[in-house]
Amino acid sequence: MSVAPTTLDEASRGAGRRRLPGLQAVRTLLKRPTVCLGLGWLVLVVVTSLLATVIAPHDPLEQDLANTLALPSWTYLLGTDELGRDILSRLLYGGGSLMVVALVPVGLSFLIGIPVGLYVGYAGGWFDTASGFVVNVMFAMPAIVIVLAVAAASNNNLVVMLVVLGILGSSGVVRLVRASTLATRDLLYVDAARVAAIPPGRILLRHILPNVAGPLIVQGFIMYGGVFLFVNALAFLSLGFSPEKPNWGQMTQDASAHISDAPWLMVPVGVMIILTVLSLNMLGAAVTSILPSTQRPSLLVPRRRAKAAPGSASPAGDADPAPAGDDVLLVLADVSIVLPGVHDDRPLVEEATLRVPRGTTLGLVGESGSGKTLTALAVIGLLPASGSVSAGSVVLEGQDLAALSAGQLQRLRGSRIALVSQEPMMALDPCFTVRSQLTEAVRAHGRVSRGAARERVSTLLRQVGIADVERVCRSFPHQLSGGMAQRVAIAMALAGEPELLVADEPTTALDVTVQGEILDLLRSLQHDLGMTIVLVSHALGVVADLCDQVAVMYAGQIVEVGAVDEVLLQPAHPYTRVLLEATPALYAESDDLCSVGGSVPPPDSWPAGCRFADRCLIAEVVCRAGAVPMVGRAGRESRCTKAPESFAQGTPRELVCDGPEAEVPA
Amino acid sequence: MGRFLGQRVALAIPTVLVVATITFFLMQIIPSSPASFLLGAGATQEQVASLTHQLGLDRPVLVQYADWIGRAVRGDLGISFVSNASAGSTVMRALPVTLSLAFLTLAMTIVFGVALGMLAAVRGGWLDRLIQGLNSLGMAVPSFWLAVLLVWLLAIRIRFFYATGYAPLSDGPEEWILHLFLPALALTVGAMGQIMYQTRAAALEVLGRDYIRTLQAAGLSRRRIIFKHVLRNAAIPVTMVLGMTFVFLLGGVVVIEMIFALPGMGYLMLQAVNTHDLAVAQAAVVAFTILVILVNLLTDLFVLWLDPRARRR
Repeated sequence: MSVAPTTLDEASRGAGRRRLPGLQAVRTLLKRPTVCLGLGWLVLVVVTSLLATVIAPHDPLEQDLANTLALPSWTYLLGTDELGRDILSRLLYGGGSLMVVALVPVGLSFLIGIPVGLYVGYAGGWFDTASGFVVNVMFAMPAIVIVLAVAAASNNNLVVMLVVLGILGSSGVVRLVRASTLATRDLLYVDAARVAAIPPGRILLRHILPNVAGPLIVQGFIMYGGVFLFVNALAFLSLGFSPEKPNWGQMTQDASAHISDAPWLMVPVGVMIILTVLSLNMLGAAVTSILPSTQRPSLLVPRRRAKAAPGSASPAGDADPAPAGDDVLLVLADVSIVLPGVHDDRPLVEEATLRVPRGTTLGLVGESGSGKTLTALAVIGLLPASGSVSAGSVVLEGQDLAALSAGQLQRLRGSRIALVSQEPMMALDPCFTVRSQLTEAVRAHGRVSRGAARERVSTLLRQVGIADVERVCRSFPHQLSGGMAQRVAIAMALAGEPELLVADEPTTALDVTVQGEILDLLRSLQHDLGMTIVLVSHALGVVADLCDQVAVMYAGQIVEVGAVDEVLLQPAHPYTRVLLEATPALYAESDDLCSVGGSVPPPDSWPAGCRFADRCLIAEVVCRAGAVPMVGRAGRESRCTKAPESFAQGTPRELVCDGPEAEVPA
Repeated sequence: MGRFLGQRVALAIPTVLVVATITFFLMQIIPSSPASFLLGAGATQEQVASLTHQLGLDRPVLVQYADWIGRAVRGDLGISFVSNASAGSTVMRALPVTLSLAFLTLAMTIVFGVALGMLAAVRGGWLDRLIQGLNSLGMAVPSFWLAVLLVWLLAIRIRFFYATGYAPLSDGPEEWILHLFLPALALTVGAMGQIMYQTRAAALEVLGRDYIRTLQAAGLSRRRIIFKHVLRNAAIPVTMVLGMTFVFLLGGVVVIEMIFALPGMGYLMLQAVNTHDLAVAQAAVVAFTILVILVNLLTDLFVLWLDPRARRR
């Protein structure tokens, strides 16, 4: 059926993951004004046309030749047509008929399409291939044209036309149900049901059909709207409908004959048709909007930057000024990060303070959900979902990034701060060659001739250790291996000769053997180019390998910061010890356990006191009493009530080795 | 690439044959007597029987089918019962009109649909809601109703466009567009909704991809990212549904040609319906099917050009 390509395709794409939770969903829907309005209008049309004989003020065929083409009056509320018949009465009588007629093809499509789609999707094999061909043939058939051809042959037999339309329309339903069945067929719970010898019929009904219910309902609304418009068009063309009984399509035809002398006639009937189809579309859209979606928020930063909370953004160095002679490139002072609409706008990172001297590497460590990636993205101004730094400041070489316009920030990116992200295969645009993307990055930082840009691209690729520059240049991202793609992504980050490189878990997605190569590359690049690096990682091994300083994050807070050897050898926060214990390659003995297990709590259940207290074995009442501040000297601090003692005595541990293979289990 | 094209063409030919066959038998299943219609109500039984015999309609259905399909593959789609002209050449005469209208509408649909879809996806917020709202409204407006209104407003009240008729492109592009703009606009309002929704969904999907962040991190301008990278990637799924949009459009074309008295295939089809001219109706269905298959082939090729990952297959 040609009525709804949009929803059909959308629905079949995500069909396997979607499930409509029945009654709950209906309740949610009924709270929406558009749903109530749409449903209300449809009910109104159906009820008034059922009661037309009772409530219509006139007989729809009664002629009043003294009052032809009259404008609305008290006698004729919506005026009269060319024979003086009452428009309102005709609308009331004509409302229901075409809505019932339009149900026939839609119902037929579903009756044929659902069982066929379920069967071919579940059984597969040659039957699936054969029906695939049939469905494709049906898609190539211009349904409306065929229905008209049928009209020619059947002497405008409406029933035959509707049946043919229904059969042709079933191909869309088959496609949708088949796609969803295929996606669901091999899911674990379906496998389990199959192993438990539950008959296929029941598996299809209980486990597979519910998954496609949501998209099918949407498809139904859209199809119904389309078919309703089509039968009105048939009536407009006087095909298949008796001229005696009024209907909306035919009334439009009548009105069009008098468009010059009585344009008003077009209005009531147009409004009726439009509101009816609009109601159906709105119901379809509402159901779509409550279906679970895998949509990720936009990563494109808005044109105008979100304003930070008034008065909260403090100028640089407010916390404590840089020690004299220390060449500090990046300072984060009490940074809080909010993603609008996520966890009720609660800051996902709070009071993050960091100082990164030029030419050094800072490691940001923590489990998923600790806020380390958000902190890193705030540095380059690329927070997702219009997120913003709601308090504190990010200062690059004395310049507060919050004070920059979106345009200034854009010029800063790539040329002063660059980013390497986690998934190299996702980080490159699949539609363009490596050369095209690298050239674009090179030319983003000033006017460079084609030849010079080409030369620069080759240099960059050699710089990241790619030997076969020509071949890689011609490749599309999907033709590269993960390690190769990450090298290209690093080359892209280097294109603008940045001073600061933010590397967000650059090795996590790679094979273990490749991880080491990429870390070596980063180390040598830093050595050669004198870059400053902020490295985000969940692996203490990687940090020990590469970093000068480390900041440990937990539940949106920095809990410990210091030089790498100091933090790893003398951890002052129990959480750091937990991380170390989970990294056996780094941690020789484990005589005292610090943790009771568990994971990072979600932001809505962060406690007011120490956020680690619930997992901490040495936690005391004081830990839960209130927010725990960072204590210690500049450059070596911890957010633990016991930190002063730890700093005083020290709890030396022995680092046994280092290497990227040592990781904290996620 | 060449193999893919070969496969597609190889698949297209049986598709046309199957559609032609289905159409032929659809015409037979339903009892009708073109002869009695042609002769009018006053005809005697003998007259009807003799004309039926003359037209060859008293032969077994399979014989009629073999005869028809045998000629059809050689390009002979039969003779119109009504005008005695070749059904094939009758359809070919009407084809340019329908092609002009369908492709002008398709072009307008793509331009407006993609532009609005991109705008809604990139801007978001109230503009997104406004565009979506107007779009639902546009999809709910019956094209025949809108067409009548447009004719009245822009051809009768303000005499700018032509209310009826067609001028071939050879008469100059100005005449051509003045005849076709109103019918194309009436169709575009309803049809562009699908393209708009598809573009919006595809663009939102692309905006959530990691490479959007990489491109910004590399210092590319927002405009460049939107118009080059988002548009290119979003164009892939949009192109994939273009074939279906085209089929939808053809349905509308049939109705709209009536209102604007455009002598195209829809007009022809409707005449055939009213005069029970089965040969012409069948020929028109075959022509429409070939058209749809060609457009699907073109969109497949375009996807291949757009998406390097698809070229592997």
